Amino acid sequence: MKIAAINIIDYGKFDEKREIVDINPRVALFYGKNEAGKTTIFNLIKSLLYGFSPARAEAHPYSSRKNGRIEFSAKLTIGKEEIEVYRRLLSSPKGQMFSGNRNEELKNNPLPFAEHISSEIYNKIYSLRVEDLIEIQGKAWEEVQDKLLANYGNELLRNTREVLKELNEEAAEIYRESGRGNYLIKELENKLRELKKEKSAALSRQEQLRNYDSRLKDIDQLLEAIINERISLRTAIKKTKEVMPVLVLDAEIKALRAALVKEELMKGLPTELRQSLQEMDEAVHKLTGELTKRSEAINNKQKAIYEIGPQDELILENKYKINAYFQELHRLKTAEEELKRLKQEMERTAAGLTEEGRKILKEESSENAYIRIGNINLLELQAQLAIQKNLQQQLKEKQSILAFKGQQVVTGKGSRLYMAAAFAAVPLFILALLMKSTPVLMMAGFIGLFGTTGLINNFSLKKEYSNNLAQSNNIAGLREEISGLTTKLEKATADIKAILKGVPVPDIIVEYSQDVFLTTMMRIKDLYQLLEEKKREAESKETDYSFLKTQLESFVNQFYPTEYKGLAEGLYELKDRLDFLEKQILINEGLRQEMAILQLDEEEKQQQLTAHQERLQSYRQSLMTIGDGNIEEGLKLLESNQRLMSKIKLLEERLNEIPTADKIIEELLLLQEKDMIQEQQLEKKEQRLEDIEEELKNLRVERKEIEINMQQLMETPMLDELESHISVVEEALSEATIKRDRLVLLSELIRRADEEFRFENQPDVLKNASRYFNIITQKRYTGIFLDDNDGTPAIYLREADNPSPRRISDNESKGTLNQLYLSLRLSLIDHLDQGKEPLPICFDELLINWDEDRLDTNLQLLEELSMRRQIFIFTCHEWMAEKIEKYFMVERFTLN
Amino acid sequence: MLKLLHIGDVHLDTSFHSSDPQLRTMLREGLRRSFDNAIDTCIAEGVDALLIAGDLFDNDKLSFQTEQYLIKAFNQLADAGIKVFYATGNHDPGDKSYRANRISWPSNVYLFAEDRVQEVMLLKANGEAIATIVGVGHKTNREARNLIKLFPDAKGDLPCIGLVHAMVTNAGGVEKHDRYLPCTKEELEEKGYSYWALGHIHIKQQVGESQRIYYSGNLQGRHPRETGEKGGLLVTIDDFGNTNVAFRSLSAIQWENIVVKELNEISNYHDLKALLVDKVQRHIAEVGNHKKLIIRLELQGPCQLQGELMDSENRQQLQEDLKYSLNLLTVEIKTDGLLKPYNRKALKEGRHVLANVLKRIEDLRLREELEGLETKLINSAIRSQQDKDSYIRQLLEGLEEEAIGRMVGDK
Repeated sequence: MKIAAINIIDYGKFDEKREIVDINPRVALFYGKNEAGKTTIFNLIKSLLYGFSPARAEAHPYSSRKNGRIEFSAKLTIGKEEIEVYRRLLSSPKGQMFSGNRNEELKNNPLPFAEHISSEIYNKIYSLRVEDLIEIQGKAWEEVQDKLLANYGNELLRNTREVLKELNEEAAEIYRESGRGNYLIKELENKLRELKKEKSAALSRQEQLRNYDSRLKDIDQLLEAIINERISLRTAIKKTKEVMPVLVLDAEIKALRAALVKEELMKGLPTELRQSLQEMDEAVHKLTGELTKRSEAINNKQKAIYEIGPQDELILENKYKINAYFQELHRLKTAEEELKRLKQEMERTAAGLTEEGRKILKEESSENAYIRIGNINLLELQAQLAIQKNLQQQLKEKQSILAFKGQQVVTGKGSRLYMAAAFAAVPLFILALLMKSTPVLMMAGFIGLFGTTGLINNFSLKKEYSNNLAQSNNIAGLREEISGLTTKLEKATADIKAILKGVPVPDIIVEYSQDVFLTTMMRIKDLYQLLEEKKREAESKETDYSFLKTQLESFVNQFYPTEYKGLAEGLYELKDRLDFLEKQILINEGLRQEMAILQLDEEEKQQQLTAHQERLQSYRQSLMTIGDGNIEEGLKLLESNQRLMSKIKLLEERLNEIPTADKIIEELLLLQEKDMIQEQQLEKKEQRLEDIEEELKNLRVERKEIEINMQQLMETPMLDELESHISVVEEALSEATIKRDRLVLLSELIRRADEEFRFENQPDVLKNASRYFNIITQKRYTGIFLDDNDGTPAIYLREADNPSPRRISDNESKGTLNQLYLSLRLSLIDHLDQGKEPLPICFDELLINWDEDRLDTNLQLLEELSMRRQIFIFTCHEWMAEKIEKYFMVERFTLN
Repeated sequence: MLKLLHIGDVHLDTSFHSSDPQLRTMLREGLRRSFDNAIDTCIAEGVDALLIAGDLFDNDKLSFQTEQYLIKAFNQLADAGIKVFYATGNHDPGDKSYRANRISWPSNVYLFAEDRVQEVMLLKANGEAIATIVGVGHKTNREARNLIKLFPDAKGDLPCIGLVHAMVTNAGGVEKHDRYLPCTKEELEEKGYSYWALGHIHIKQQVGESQRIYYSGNLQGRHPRETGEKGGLLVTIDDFGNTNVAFRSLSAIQWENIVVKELNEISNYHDLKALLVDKVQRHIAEVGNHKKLIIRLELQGPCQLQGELMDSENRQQLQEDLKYSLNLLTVEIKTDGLLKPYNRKALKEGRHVLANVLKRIEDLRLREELEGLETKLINSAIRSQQDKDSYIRQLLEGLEEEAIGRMVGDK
């Protein structure tokens, strides 16, 4: 394959269209200073052959700086065929190949005739730099080995060395003979050891569980036995406890009874006798003292009683009279005062009567005149006076009419008086009712009657007058009437006098002062009556007063036969004396009652004293007997016995509180082995019961602990689970072992196959390389050989004048090594392209360090090579460029 | 009529080879539930006796808790008037030092712990004898003698029932089991028993043609290879001596293994999941889904997703997805059998190191003697050249795929 022209649109630093045409099919020389774009051209050739990697413009190192893209086309010749290739890289790669009328989509794939060499191999092998030739030793030599001898013959296969390295690394991850570092088998073995330890622990736990279970069963049996024993013990203890108190009490009672002395003699003696004796002595002493006091008190009372004499007796006998007359004395005084008052009133009434009498009577009034007036019917008088007065008025009117004929005035004077009288009577009447005064009432009645009758008469007169006035039109008639009236008037006056017969009243008063007269008459009559009444009353009271006074004086005098004390003084004295006596009698009564009580008390105390003295005597006698004549000794014996008895009683009470006591005692009497219920036995049993409770508690605690432990143990990983885990790890270990052994086996097989391949393929490459080496060393060396030296491949050189090959060493001259490397590399390239389209190679300053002779021989070799494949030479050296131009008859492409 | 439930190889407290602790717990609990089911079946069916043909538990792993559990379960049977005849096996031997002998079994349990044949009468509650149980135990965990020869021939009118944990050497599936108490089916048939209740082989099966000799298989599968329904055998012997045997599914958890090979065209996760869901659903439809299922999917053959499926995280994701999509107890996916979709022939014939490697693997596999390899192997189980040869052959299994996987590509 030859590149005829390159049309760059965008590639790396070439961001403007640039055409490189007429490229020599054998040697293409590119000249340019550093950074002028020589490497860019080499990469462009690689992109042309293999597409873009990476396949995105933004990631590709040769994206044009200006446009961020790659685009170019190239013209190629394959034999006689002309082909045009177009590639572009934006966000995705594009590639097309035109061949005649054929248009093939390349996308980013390699050119079909470059596929036999991978892009990586092309990059590593077909690009030759001067550095590659210098670093032939050490690591570079291994690379040469790879490139020379490995499986580059098939594009699908990986580098054998890498595969072997990978296999060995993987195997070392699994197992290392040195035992250093971490590797899988070591981890698994450790894990397995741990698991086996755990399994061992789990086995122990299982054993422990079974031991616990066994112990649990033992504990359950023990518990059952102990609980049964506890039940028996409790029953026995209960029984013993039931019997024990009865037995003890019974024994104690018996012992106490045996200790009693002269029990019979002490019957009936009280408890606490010593104290009783003392108390009784004190009581006797006290009672004696009290009795003395009582006697004195009685005497005192007796002395305090008041003696009543004969005079006192007499007063007391007249007790009621004295009291009554004392009361009468008061009435007497009142009557006296009343009489006095009556006399005064009588005097005042008599004076009033005299005064009134003067008003109407001609002479000094006499008793008879008043009596006469008192007998006059005042109503009758009043009527007559009214008639008189009426006649007087009629007469007067007729006389007026007669005198003035037609000019008569009827006056209502008379009617006005009547009206005033009538109206005055009403309040007077009300006043009389309020005062309850008969005279006033009578006065009111009189005035009312006067008013009323006057009014009525006046009214009739007026009516009559009107009638008369209308009818009498003549004087004669009038005079007749006057005459008639005068007669009537005289008669009326005579009637009045008749009524007043015996009363010395002047006529004028009777004829012209009817109203005053009548009123005075009425007043006189009343006063006189009043006076008479008072007289009668005074007389009556006087009589009563005198009688009473006489009676009282008579009564009082009997108490003072020798001297007269005066009524009031006497009565007061009597009354005082009586009150004193009555009080004294009450006091005496009280004293006597007190004396009676004191006497009763005295008797009672006397009895008590006697009783005490008797009992004291009795007790002392008994004590004397008990104490054999010594009361104190007796007392001591008694006290001792009493104490014993009180204890016995207490014990008996307690015994009685036990309902089954009698039955138990009966049973005990029949029981042979009484020691069974001894207290000691009970204690032993109780101690055993306590022990049992403790044992039970301990066993239960142990049981609980065991159960908890078992529960905890049962929650730990099970043996089968650990076994499963162990077998999983064992399986993993086995798998790891097998895998490792497989890896190692495969590694060996690959290594051997690789050696074999190298052995089979080495001669062609080396043969070719030997020829190239021979040319460039100007026939100094005739052959190159590879051989193993203690497992390490080594290169041997055969010199023209030396039949035995010489192993190249570190001391080999740089020039020779460079020539050797170039020969091997070029031979390898031929080998890789064998039978396929030879791809262009690139020399980047490859020959720069070579001396003139060597350079010439090299160019000679390149000339031979360029017969088969296109050679791209890049240099920045003018002299080199000129040398190449001259040698190959080509023109340089200058890069700026 | 005599009614018995025959079970064996319960392996209580056995270990489960699962790396998932949750699954291990479920399996352990499942095993107990399976045993509960056996007890419940005894009571519900009103059997006269429960026959346990050995390996009730794993001696060295039996926990105290399981002992208590067993005693409680047998007491339940005692309450229902059901006897238990239990012949010890190689995992639960009956000598004094072993657990089976040290447990205080309830009075309704008869233990054949000795290596001498014993005849025991099975009595009803009223004392009437209804069968003779003839059994022998494994005294130790290494009983390799043929004790069947010591069994008496059947005699009398009562049904004679043999109970033993033995390996009938010409029965099915024996190759996976050790030769404990070996015997032949002919020897068993010759005894003329009404029924032989056998234990040791974990696959339920009729031995011979007589329809009177049976392995009940185990109660619940212990690992992915013990697939399908597991349980016990309900044995009925009528008054005329006719024996009827009916399988009763008792396991709480069931293992199922599904091989999937059609993966060539699968190029994405979605399609792969859909395919596997379909496969599992079809399988469940076949076996019935009345049990809790543990499904193991073995993916085999070329698959474009081989690389992805070799990644344990991806595999785990797929397992979880399937578990929830199918409502399963657990799903395990094995990808060891997957191949990269390369043209192996072309690779073998190529001119490169890989071709040399593949050729070398093939050569090694074909060689009888494997001496000359320099590989330093660390497997401690290798004690002889023979062991090493055998081990290397084991290592060579799938090594081509490994070599291709590692060398092909551009890592």
